[in-house]
Amino acid sequence: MTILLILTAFIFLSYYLLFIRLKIDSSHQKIILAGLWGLGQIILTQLFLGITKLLYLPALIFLNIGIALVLVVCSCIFKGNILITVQQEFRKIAGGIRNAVSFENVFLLILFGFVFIWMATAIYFFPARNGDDLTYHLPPVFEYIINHKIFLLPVEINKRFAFPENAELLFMWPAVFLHSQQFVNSAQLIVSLWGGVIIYGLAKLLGIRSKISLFVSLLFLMTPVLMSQMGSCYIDITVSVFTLTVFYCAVMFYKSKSSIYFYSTALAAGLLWGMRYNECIFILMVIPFLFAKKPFRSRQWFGFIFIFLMAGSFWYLRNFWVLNTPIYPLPFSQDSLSIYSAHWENVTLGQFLMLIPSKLFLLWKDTGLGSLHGGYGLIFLGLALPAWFYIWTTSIIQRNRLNFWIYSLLIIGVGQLMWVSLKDYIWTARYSIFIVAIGLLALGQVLIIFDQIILFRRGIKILCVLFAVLAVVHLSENIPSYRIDKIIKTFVDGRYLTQQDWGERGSARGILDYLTMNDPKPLNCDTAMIFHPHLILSPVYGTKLQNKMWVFGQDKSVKPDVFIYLRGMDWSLWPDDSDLKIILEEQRINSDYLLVFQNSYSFLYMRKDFFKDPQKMQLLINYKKNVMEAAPVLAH
Amino acid sequence: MINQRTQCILLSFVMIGFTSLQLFWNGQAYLNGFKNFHYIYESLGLLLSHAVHPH
Repeated sequence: MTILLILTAFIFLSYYLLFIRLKIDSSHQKIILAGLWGLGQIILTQLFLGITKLLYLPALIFLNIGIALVLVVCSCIFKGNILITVQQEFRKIAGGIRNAVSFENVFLLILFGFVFIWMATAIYFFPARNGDDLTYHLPPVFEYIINHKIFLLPVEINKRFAFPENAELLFMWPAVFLHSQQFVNSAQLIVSLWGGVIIYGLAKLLGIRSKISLFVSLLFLMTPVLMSQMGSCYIDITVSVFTLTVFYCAVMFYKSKSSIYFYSTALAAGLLWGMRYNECIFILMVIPFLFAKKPFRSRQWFGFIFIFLMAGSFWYLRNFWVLNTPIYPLPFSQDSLSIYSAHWENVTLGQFLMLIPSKLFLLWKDTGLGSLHGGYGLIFLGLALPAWFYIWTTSIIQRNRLNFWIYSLLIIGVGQLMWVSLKDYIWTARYSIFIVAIGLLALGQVLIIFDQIILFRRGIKILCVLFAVLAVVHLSENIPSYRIDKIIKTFVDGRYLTQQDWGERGSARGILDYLTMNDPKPLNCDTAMIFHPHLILSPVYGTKLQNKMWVFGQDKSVKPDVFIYLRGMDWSLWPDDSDLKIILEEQRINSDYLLVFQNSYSFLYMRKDFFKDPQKMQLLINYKKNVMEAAPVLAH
Repeated sequence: MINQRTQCILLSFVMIGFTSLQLFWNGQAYLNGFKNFHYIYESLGLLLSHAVHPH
């Protein structure tokens, strides 16, 4: 853990130091650039080692230390005393903080501090527990770590394994260091904080003064869907923050003509392209910014394209190599998952257009509120959206091209959601979280424009603070739950044994995890869920990634050591033609296996041989004593 | 061209309308949070006291 924290900080600080020496003006600009290049390094070094089948921890550490040391050495050879430069930087940061302090900002900072502690506690105690985490974001990451290489998992098991995975490589960073799932859901929390700085940077770019800039960036962090996803392994925050980074770098280049921002745009765009298929829309949108200024020499454009392709093209090449198509599943096909994990509806153009008002209404009604699928919140939908209408219209009337382009991002963000079918719309809002940031920037500009009208200014600020409090309070009602009370009580009572023992369905996984946690030899595990064989995979690997998935193994003739079935006991629910039902029947009568646990949600079979070791039986008894006293059945 | 004060008043009316609709649709959901929120700070307090004085 210490190595992870020190190395991550060292990577970030090495870039920060480099950007100090490259005379990047403001501290927030340096944080944004250091964050971008630092995260880029984290993603790309893992990718490089994964492709070359060298994804071992020592190799990853030495490669990253090597790159960071080169950056530090490069920073030191610039003219001027480095210590004086660092001192000046500290003074600059302190001055910047003083400029941004206001009553409402201090209140929001304290409120966010509370949210941060809450989320960090939830990340520590809870496992990754949301549908997409368990089914396709995390299993590839764990397979890459176990096999020390990056490859394509069988798409017959889940088509989503073929999605681009740059964002997932951020989840891999703590997991590869700790060889554990424990902090795998911390990445989005860190990216959110960095996203807050990007909103601050964008606000400053639009001429909003420091206090209001900090105000809107803190409000962004209080967005319900953002808070809801902070402790998850969904990738929507990461994708949205990188979308904003692409725009930030492009606009900074437009304003400063600095080649640092030119190449940073390439890196951000490449990384974004490697996170989700449809993000190329935004990359096309920033091209005008890049061409609007002085024409570039072909050498520089070559550098741009090289960085862009290096950062994002691998997943497309991999798909082309293995599946003969760069994008899989193909968008707009009958059985496809569309360009997101949601489904595409096969309708005529007329029907498509007719559905748009209904979709906009659902979006406006904030139907996903209270889940990680949606929740733009009262501040955005109540206050920032009218402000956006005002600023966007004004930008057209005043022919302010820059504002028009930046604020049009909201239309593109909403527009890309129209491809999702109406029945899937309830979980659509999360794909465009960045539109909240665009709305909040407009709110910040409105506060500046009507600064003289005190009643308006104060009224908006009070409402924003109140709504931020409501959003934080509402998080305690969220699904998946951030209710940490029960688990903390378990921990304080000394009954907290494993992170995987979460919720009723977690019990079978919890036992498996507890029994195998310190085993040097992995167990071969299989899992099935009604209608979906091999769907929810990641908990079965165990907290310390100690188990293997039978379904990804080469030799299928050897039966698994462990079976976990979910939503199990009512066999009438299993389809008659399901092979799984036959396997279940076999399992029940097979004398090699022991039904170790069953409840109304799950049941766990393990090979009897496993319990030849008396310690294992003792562990099982210990588990029952500590955790399952209230559980319905423990079969022997 | 409408003067700035009038623009501000018009914008305020739109904001009040939008916010009222949001509160009408989702207000109860937000208020429901208060039922459980005390568990969060109480349990964080419990964790803190456990860290300071472990059993």
